[in-house]
Amino acid sequence: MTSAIHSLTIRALRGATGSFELVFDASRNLTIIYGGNGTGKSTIVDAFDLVCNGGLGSITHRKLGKGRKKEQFVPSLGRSVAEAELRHGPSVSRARIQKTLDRQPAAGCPTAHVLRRSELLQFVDADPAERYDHVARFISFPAVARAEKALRAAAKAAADEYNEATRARNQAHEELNKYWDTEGGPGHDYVSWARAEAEKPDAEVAEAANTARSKLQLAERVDRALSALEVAESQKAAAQEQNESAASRLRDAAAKLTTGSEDLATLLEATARFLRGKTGPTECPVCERGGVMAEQLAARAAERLEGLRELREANEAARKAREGLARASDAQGKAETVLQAQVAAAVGPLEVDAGLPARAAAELTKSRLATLAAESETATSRLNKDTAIRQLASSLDEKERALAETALESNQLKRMQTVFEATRKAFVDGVLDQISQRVNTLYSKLHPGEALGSIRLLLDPGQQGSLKFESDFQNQGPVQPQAYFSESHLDTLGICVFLALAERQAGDATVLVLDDVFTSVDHEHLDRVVSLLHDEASRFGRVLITTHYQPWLKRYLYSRAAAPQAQLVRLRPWSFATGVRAVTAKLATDELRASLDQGDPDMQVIASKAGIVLENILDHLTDLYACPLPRRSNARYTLGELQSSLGGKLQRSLRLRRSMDAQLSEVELAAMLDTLGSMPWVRNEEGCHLSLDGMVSEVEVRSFAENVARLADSLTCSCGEMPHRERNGESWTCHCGALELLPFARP
Amino acid sequence: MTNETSKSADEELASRVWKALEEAGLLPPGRGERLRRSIAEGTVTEEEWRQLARLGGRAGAKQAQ
Repeated sequence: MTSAIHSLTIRALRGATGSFELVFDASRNLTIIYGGNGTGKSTIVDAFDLVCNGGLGSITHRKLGKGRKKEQFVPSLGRSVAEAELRHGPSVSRARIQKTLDRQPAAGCPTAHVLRRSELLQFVDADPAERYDHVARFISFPAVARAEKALRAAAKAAADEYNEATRARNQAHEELNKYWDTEGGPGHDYVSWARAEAEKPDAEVAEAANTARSKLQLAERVDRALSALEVAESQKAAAQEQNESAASRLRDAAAKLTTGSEDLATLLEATARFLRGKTGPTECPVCERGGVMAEQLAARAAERLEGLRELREANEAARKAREGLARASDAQGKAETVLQAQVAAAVGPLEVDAGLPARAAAELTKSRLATLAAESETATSRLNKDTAIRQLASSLDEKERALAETALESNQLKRMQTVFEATRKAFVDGVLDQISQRVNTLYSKLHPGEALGSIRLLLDPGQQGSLKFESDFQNQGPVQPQAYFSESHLDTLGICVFLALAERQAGDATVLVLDDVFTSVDHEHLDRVVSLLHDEASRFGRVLITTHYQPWLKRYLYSRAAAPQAQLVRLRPWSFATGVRAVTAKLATDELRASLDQGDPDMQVIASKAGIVLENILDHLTDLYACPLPRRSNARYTLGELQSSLGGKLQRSLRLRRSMDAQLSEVELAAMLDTLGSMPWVRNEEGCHLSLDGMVSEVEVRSFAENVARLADSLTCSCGEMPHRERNGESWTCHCGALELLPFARP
Repeated sequence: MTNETSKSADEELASRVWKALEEAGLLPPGRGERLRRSIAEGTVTEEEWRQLARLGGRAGAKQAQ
């Protein structure tokens, strides 16, 4: 995979107090940034997080005071604006923080998967729900989930309709069965009986019900007319009695007064009306005599009128009583007419003697009311029952058809739902299996043959959104790894899970960033880690690894790892004034050659460097061939000890086989090793110790260094590694396999 | 997960679901690509599923005859 990320520029961001630029080598996807503590490794990682993800980097999870915005801590101390720029492809993505984050990702801005030391165990140690969140993005399918939800709703609606159709069909059968029972169970069965009943003409029953109903209605009308007449008669009797009483009272009142009293009362009332509102002297309205006081005259008229009040009231009451009697008589007459009409209408249909007086005929009709009501109810009930049987019988086929259709649809949808769910579950399980397998593959690369592994990610069937995490331990399982694995094994497990998840989104537009996650790895595991990360680099747009672990860097510098595949960056010591500074780390042999090529070479430096390169080669060979060395707790040996431990037999049999362009060439190492075997004193005399009587010439130093460089060149493949990988128990080979070292074992 | 990743996961699962439905004989003939796309885009409705079930059911019943 070719890297499309060209450079990262940081200004006033965290430790980068000035301007810092890191240019990426386009031919190598892997960048190793080595630096001691506090040299700015995390600053570079934070800048990636900021530009690529809009994250605040290493301070994201730090507690910096409640209510304080963390953005304010991103600019370097004393600065208010932090900036980061990432050049990728033809574009530049930018992020700027001045109190708030202003991020401007360009098209194709990569996504950065960042793992920090503090987050190593975030997956392993998480509870099942949090762990699920880590993988949810790989097993959630929002669009397909909507389609499945619609299918579930369809299946439920169809099932409801099927249940309703079943209920309606069963209810029809139950009702017909009940009717059949009440009829005494005629015929073969209730269904055939009902169908036969439905075929019968229903006019006769309907006619009977109509006749009974209209007879009842006629009788009810006669009954109502009779009741109305009785009420009218009663009201007339009461009005008569009231009239007589009023007449008697009027007679009594009149007897008490003289003739003409009624006229006088009328005159006095008119006088009172005339005088209303008048005051002072006025003229009498009758005799026209003047000087009469209006108030006095009105008072006198009122006084005399009071004396006539009883007669006037009695007169009014008598008038009203007469009117009431007239109305009652009229109402009675009308009621008699209505009754006669109702009786006339009823006598025929009800078969009442037409010669009877209306009153008597009405009384007779009333007495038959209950019988007529019962007859009507019976006839109506018969009709209703016949109608129900007819309808139920005729709807049986329709109900059976609806039931069959809904059953077919419901079953079909249930099967579709089952297939859908099973496919989705299998797919999710497949994704989890793939992740688990990948974790296992990665983990077994780091810990081969350690009886650990069989990592499994499983959805907890009893809990929604819950992910179980299991493994084997010492070939027993399943166990929770966090309960049995050592701290370092959990660390590497956390890294493998992170890598397996990140790989699922790997591609040109993704950057994998591991920020100082390997803190203390032993010699054996470090080689595996390096090899693993070299493999990973091919999957991502770029893999960026920061480390403060010097042995890692030295692996590359001394050809123990494939340096040409990695861009090696060494961070210089940090100060507030200089900020973050970086230099390209040079391989030991390159440094040696550079020293030799200088115009005014420093012989002491050259002798020292050559000695170290030779030590590295001899250490490698004696380690590879398990050469005997004196037991020493610090495992430091002199050049002489290393050379003599190789032994003459091995030295004479050592040879290199190089394949290049399908051509094989072999070189024996014996001559080079022999030459160097007589020269360690050059390093000791010139490169290590104080020598006041120094007898080492520049020619000797130069010869020693050039021989060492030649041996190093011979033993190092263009892939950057000295052979150290076993090839079929026959030879040792380098990373790319082009260079072999023989024999495989000490003769 | 980027939108693109999520979309391709949806596409892949939709294809599998559609294929499984078809292999189980649950789809009416001629409902291939359009249904697969509707599942992948999440646009297939409750009524469309029911219609598919009715048509598929009838086709199945006819075949059984």
